[in-house]
Amino acid sequence: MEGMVKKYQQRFRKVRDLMEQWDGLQSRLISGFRDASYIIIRLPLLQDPKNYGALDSVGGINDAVFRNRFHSLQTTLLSINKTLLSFFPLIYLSVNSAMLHYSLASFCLFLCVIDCCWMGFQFFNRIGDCFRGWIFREEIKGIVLSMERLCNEARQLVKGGSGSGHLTAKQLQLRVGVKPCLADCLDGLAILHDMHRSEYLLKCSLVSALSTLALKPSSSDLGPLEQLLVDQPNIPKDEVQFIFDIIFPEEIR
Amino acid sequence: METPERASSSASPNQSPIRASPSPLPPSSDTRLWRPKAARNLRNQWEKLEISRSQWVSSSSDGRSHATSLVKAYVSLKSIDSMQLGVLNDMPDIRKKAHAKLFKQQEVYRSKLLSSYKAMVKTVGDMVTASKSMRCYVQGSSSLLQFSISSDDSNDPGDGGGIPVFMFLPISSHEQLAEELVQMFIFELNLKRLLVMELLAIDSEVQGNSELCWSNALYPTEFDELSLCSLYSKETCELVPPSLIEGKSNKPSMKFKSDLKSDTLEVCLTTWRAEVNIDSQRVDEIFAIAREEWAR
Repeated sequence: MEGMVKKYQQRFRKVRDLMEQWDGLQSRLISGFRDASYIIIRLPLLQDPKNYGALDSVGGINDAVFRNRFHSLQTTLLSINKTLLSFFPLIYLSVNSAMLHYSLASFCLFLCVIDCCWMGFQFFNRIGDCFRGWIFREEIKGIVLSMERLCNEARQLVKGGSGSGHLTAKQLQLRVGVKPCLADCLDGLAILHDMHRSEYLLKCSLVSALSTLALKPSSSDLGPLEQLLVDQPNIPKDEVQFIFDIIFPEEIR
Repeated sequence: METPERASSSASPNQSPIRASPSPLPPSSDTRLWRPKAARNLRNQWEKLEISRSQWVSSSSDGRSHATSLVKAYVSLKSIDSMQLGVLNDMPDIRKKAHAKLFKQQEVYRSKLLSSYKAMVKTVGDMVTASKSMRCYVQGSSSLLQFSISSDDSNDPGDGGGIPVFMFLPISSHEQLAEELVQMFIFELNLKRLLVMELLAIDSEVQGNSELCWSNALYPTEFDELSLCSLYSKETCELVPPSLIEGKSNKPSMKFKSDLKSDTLEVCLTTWRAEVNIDSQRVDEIFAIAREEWAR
C-alpha cells in the first residue's frame, strides 16, 4: 500500500512540473492578450483621418498604419491561439473527449472570426487562402499530437486502474503515519485536473471573446476579460496548496 | 606603367602582361588577390549593417517609451486643473507642486526623445556609409598590391570585374540588397522626424501653433547628418518631405500645433510603433541572403 502511495506522490510531482509549465504558458497568454487588446482599442482611432495631425501630409499614411496594426493583430491572435493549444497536453490526465471537441469547436470559431476579418477588410484577400490552409494544418497537427499523448496516458491509467479496482474502501482510507491515504491521492488528482480543465475552457472562451471583439472595436471593455484571464478563478491558489500539503506532509514547515 | 615595378617584385609572381592596359576585367592573379580582400570587406560591411539594425531597434523602442512618457506627462498637465484631488486639496500648493513636477518631467522626456532621435539619425548614417563601402579597389602602384574601399583610379570599378565574391552574388548585387535595406530605414527616419517634431511641439503652456517648424534643425549638426542619408539637399537647402516608401507626399506646411487631442497623440505613438516603412520580414530575408553567401 505504501508503494502505491509513493507512486501517486510521484504523479503529483509530475503534476507540479506541469503546473510550472502552465504558469509559463499563462504569462505568454497574458502578454499576447494585452498586446491584442492594446491594438484593438486603438484601431478605431486609426481609421479616422482627423486624428493624424501633422502626419496628414504623408500620403496614404492612415491606410498603411491601419493595415500594419491589423496585420499585427492577426499575428498576435494567431500566436494566442497557438499558446492556448499548448495548454492542451498539460491537462494530461484527461480522457474526456468532450474537451477535444470543444477545443476543435473553439478553433473553428476562431477561423470563422478570421474569415469575417477577411471579408470585412479586403487587404488580405489574396493571401487569405494559403494562410488559412497553413494554420489549419499546423494546429490540427498539434491537436492530433495531444490526442496521441492523451490516449497513451489513458492507457497507463487503465493499467494502474485495474490494480486499484480491487481495492476496498477500507484500503483506500488506510493511512500510514503522516502519509496520505490513497483516497486523498485520487481525490487530489481529480480536483487538480478538474480545476485546470475548467480553467482551460474559460481561457478558450475568453480568447474567442477577444477575437469577436476585434471585429466590434467600439467596445472598449477588454479590461474585465483580461482580469479574468489573469485571475484564473478556477485554480484557487490556497486550495491547490492545501492539496499539496496533504500529499506531501513532510514538506510543510 | 606598373608592370616594370611589379615584375621585379618577388611578392607577386606570375604577372600577367595584360595588366599594362587597365581593363574592366582584372587579370586572374589580381582577382585571386582581390577576392579575399573584397570578401573580408564585404562581410565587414554586412556585419556593420546588422549591428546598425539592432541599434535602430533599440533606439526606436527607447524613443517610443520616452514619447509615451512625454505624452502621459502632457495629458496629466493639461488635466491637472480640473482634477478632483479629494483630501489632497487641503495640502498647500498641491496643484502648483504637481504642475512643476510634471513640467519638469515633460522637459526630461523631451530631451530624451531628442537624443533617441539623434541616435537613430546616426545609425542610419552608419548604414548608408556601410552600404556605400562595399566595393574594393586596387590601390597604389607599389610593388605590393593594396586594396582600399575608396577609389583613386577611375578605371577601376572596384567590383573585381563582376565576379561573385563569395558564392554567387557579385558586388553589385550585394549593393542592391543593401540599398533596398537602407532605403527602408531612410524613409522611416524621415517619418520619425515628423513624429519627433509633432511630439516636441506639444506644450501645455502655449496655445495655437508652436515655434517649431519642419525646416528647423532639431540640433546643430542634424542637416549634415541628414544630407548623408540624402534627406537634405545642401544645394537647395531643402529637406525631403516625409513619405511612405511606396507613396506620394505632399509638401508639408509643417506648422506644428502645441495643443493636440489625446487621440492624435495616440495615433502618433501608434505610428511610431508601426514602422510602416520597414518591412521587417524583408529585412530579415535580405540579411539571410547575405549571410547565406558568406557562411558557406
